[in-house]
Amino acid sequence: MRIGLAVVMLALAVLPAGAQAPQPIRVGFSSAMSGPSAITGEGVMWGATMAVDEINANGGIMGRKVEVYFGDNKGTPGEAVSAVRKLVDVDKVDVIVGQTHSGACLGSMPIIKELQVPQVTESCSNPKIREMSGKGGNEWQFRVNIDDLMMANAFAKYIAKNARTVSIVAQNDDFGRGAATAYDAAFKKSGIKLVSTEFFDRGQSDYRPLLTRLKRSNPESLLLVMLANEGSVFMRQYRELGLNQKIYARGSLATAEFLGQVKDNPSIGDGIVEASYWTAALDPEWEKRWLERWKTPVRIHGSLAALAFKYAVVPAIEQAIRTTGRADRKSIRDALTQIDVKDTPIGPIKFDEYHQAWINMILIEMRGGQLKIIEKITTSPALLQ
Amino acid sequence: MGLPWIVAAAFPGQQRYLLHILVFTGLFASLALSYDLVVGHVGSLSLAHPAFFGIGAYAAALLATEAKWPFVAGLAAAVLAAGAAALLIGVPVFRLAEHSLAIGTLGFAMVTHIVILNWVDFTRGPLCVTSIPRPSIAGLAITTLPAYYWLTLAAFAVAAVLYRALTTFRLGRAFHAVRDNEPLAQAAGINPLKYRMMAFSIGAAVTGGVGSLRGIVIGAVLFTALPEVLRVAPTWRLVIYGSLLLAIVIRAPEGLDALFRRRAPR
Amino acid sequence: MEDLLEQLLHGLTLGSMYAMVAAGLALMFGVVRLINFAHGEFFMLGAYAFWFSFKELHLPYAVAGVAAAAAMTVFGVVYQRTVIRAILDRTWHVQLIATLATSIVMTNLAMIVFGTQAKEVPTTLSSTVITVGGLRTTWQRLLVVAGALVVFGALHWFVTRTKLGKAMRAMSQNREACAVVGVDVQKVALVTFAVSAALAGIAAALVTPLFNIFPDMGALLALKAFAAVIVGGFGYVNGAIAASFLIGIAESLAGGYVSYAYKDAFAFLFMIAVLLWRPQGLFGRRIGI
Repeated sequence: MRIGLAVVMLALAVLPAGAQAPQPIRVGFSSAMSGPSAITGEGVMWGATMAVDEINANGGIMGRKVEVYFGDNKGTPGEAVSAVRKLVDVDKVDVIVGQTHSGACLGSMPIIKELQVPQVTESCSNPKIREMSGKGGNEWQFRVNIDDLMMANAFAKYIAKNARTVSIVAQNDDFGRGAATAYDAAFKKSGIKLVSTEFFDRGQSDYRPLLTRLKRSNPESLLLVMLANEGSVFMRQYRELGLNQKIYARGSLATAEFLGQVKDNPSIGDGIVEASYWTAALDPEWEKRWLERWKTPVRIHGSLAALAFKYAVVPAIEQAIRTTGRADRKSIRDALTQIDVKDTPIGPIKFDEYHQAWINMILIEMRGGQLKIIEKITTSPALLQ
Repeated sequence: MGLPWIVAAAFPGQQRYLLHILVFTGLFASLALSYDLVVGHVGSLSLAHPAFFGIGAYAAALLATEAKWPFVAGLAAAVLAAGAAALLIGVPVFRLAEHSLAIGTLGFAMVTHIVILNWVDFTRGPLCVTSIPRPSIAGLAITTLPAYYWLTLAAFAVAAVLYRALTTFRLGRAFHAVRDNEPLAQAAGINPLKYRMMAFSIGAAVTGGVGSLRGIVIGAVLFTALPEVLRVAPTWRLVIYGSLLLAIVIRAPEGLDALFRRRAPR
Repeated sequence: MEDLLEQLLHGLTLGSMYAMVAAGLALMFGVVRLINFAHGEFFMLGAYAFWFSFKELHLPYAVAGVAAAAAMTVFGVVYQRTVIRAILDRTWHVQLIATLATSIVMTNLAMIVFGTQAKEVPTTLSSTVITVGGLRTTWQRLLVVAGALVVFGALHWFVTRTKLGKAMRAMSQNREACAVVGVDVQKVALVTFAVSAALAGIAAALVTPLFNIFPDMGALLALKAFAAVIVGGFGYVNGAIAASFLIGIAESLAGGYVSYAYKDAFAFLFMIAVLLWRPQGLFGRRIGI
């Protein structure tokens, strides 16, 4: 009798395989959670958490819950390898979003290939990433954002309408160096003379010697390649010196973050025109929800990670489940090559043969504490010339 | 060294990650050995060690990617480059007294870091040297993680043997840096930010037991594995790591090995 | 010419900042023979204390500055009682690692508590531009230099005219003799730490309106302060101050005229050159603070 009962219970425990709750989908986000670039990782963590919570509140992806995991790449290629391994081997994620920093992304690419996990990058702007992905290259790497080569070609044409000489001031890391190289070439093509290029190390806030050098070389305009943290201090010291070039930017200067830093005197940012692919105005509802939940100005990297997740990863997972019934790494990878999402806040998301999406480029002008989109440029491979 | 198999059995499905940690542990252990020679056995607090690691690493990486040198030749070049650099700064700097030596070597390390970061035409600066070809020794290609583990072990064994030999003869010359194991850094991209790694190496060396081989291994395992294990608490892990380092250094100034020895019944 | 004056003024500002931090470091080494690798974090903590008083408690600038100094004094005492007491009699290897570990803990705790976004603390003095002989600058920069001079004057008076200060000097010259003569060695050590920390707090209050505040800010600063202490002759406070100004000016001139990206390398090369020329420091093997 007892044995019979035990057998029945065992059978009951084992049998309802068909009525099991569907397996959750595991998504990993990798960014700089510690180290000097920790501010980007913090944003990514917030953005990812909010996006995943919102998806789950709406029933998940085709009824399956999303679980979110984080990896810390410290903004460096070496740690990116560790972060990917941790996400794949320990957390067993099905897809990775992020890296955020070009060096980290480049470092992670061989490993995602080895471990066969798809990765969707949201803000790494080094042109090499596109060159090494997709056809003939790394089949597991995908990129949503446009890179500095494309943006420089477009932005240089715009700058050429207003200035003939320019100096670049860039942060001394993978982002700044990569952008400086791209703009150097683009300025030549547009007939703008590059008077000087200055690099500064992030985390040392004293720009006076650099500003004095700029005063001496006297360009008509400046191209600043830096993030809000450094940008606000730089601009304060710039205004202190009374310089008055036309200022163009590439980074996160025309952002709510920057305005938050200079709220005692927002005119510090007046006149800056920034080339970017995201700004809060593209999705005011998102900004409102962010403010409500995190009580800080909305962050660009966090928003980009959320967008990559919502408009590339989620549709791909849906497609994978529809066509193969599974949401594993390979089927997600295959689905990513096929998705075609027309209507997102940042433009169309469809990966070409190099696994590059051609989202919109926007020019944002900052004035009187307000950010305005003054131009929206649709991008295409023509911009690679 | 059956340790990995035992640990792997305890955490099924995570073998690769563990091996990955062990490769880095071996790397740091070798580094700590070399560092201990200078600090533990000669008593000079040199803070230039990360610079030697970097110089060796860049020599090997640049020769492998730009000049397409084979792995073993690159290794030899790395050893020579680091050694030569050490000789170069060692001769003037060892004239300095204790604390000046510390800052003098630190200054050297800082200058090396700044030069490597900014001399982009030569070192590619912050963009790093990536796509470094996997090592192959005498036709045997090292591409899988377990293979890397054996390579690390072999390298560590060489380092340990050299360490024993040199400490027995009490040599005290600046070019102990020759021992550095740069090629292991070829597992990932190479990055100029070596300063904090010094904390790992120093930590491993000092807590491991000034002058004890086994202690250094314990220290290396602890300080490489610990931050990885602590990945579950990303923001807090460095706080925990620092606190642990502090506690260990205060409680066991002779190092962990002495602490364990004291516990063992005599 | 105007260019050169500009760089010099700037070098003086930098030098003042390094000097206040280096003076505290030199004091600690001079009096209790301790190398404090967490000193940069003292400055960082002082900066956050100032930010909190000025921005969150809305105290007026001068009061917030005093509050920062006071908070750091308390911190200095706590630090001495906890970390330092445990390592005071150990070898300098241990002191180095222990204070390095403390610095790691402090930096990362600051990141957790205050967040990664930098804090800015502009004051009316730092936001109003004035013209001094053709140079555009702000009152704040002049305040930094003036403040540093006042602080050093006060420190000098303290060390030469007060009983405690004289005890500190005596300890720096011969600790054993002091204990024999009946000087309360523990109390003097405590005061030394309190003063060092307060110096860092005052420096932060003076300097941060010009720049900004973030958890990592102490790292590079500490290295340069160390350089100054050694170049000035270990444990000799006036030497450290002089060396700090030299380093500040060298860095500013190198950054302005040679290369901004390599300017830190020049500061360190300068330091190495001095050490090679005079291994015992610029002012010789002086004993005592």
